[in-house]
Amino acid sequence: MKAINLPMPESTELETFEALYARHHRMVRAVVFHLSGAMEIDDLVQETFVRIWKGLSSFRGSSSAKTWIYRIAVNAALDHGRKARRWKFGLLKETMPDPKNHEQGAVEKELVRKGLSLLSEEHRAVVVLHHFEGLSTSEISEILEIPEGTARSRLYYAKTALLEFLKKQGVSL
Amino acid sequence: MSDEKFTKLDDFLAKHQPVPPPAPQDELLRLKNRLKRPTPPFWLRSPLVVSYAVAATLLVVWMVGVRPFSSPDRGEIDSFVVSTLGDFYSGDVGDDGDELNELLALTEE
Repeated sequence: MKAINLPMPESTELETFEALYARHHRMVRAVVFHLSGAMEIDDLVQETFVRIWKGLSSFRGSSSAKTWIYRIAVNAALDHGRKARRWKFGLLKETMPDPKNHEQGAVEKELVRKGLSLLSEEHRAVVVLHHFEGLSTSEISEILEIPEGTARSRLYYAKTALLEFLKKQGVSL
Repeated sequence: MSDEKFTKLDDFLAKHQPVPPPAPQDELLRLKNRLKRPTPPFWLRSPLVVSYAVAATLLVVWMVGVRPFSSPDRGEIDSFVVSTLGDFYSGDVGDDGDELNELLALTEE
């Protein structure tokens, strides 16, 4: 079998890559975790950084590196979700209440995760980027490559659905 | 967007944000190793693509007439019989038909 080798890194390119990893790996980890669950998180972080490595030479800086990396992480997670369709199954397995789990607010966190899992991928991405990553709708529109109005309306509908779900679960909001 | 409607939700999400599990200690090392590893060509990465390739190869083999898994078809047998009988009744049976001609003559007698 003839294998295609990735281009071996120039030392400066590798240094850039390592710097990007050091600066953004926590953010990548959080995004893929919120979008795809904990089961595949390590693989998805690796997949995201492999895509970053492959795209490093063609990255022209038309957007900021942060925006570019967010976009790659979101796309990697959404691609995975579309391919595997394991998200709901995996999440439900993960979110079975653990009687030994006495962590403060554990039940509420699981409710948030379950609520997110019930949203569509597009809506989930907007909520994750806005609420957990603290990005504005303008930044989200750039990352997801959608108009800002669309980002705003997705956020509105996603929050409405989350609110309804949490109220049904007995959370007083 | 009516912000008031979501104020409590925003607080709730901020307070109860799920936390991802910690990254493995050797994550960067594993990543670098993965980057160095050869990647198979894209058409070998998907079993579906391989299946299509095998099916297409078999189809081409069949179309050019090799037909490795089939017996002679009815058309071939029919044309063989028709041409042999035709030769026989027209008397054009060559050397191989001598015995048959003799048998036919004996029958007529």
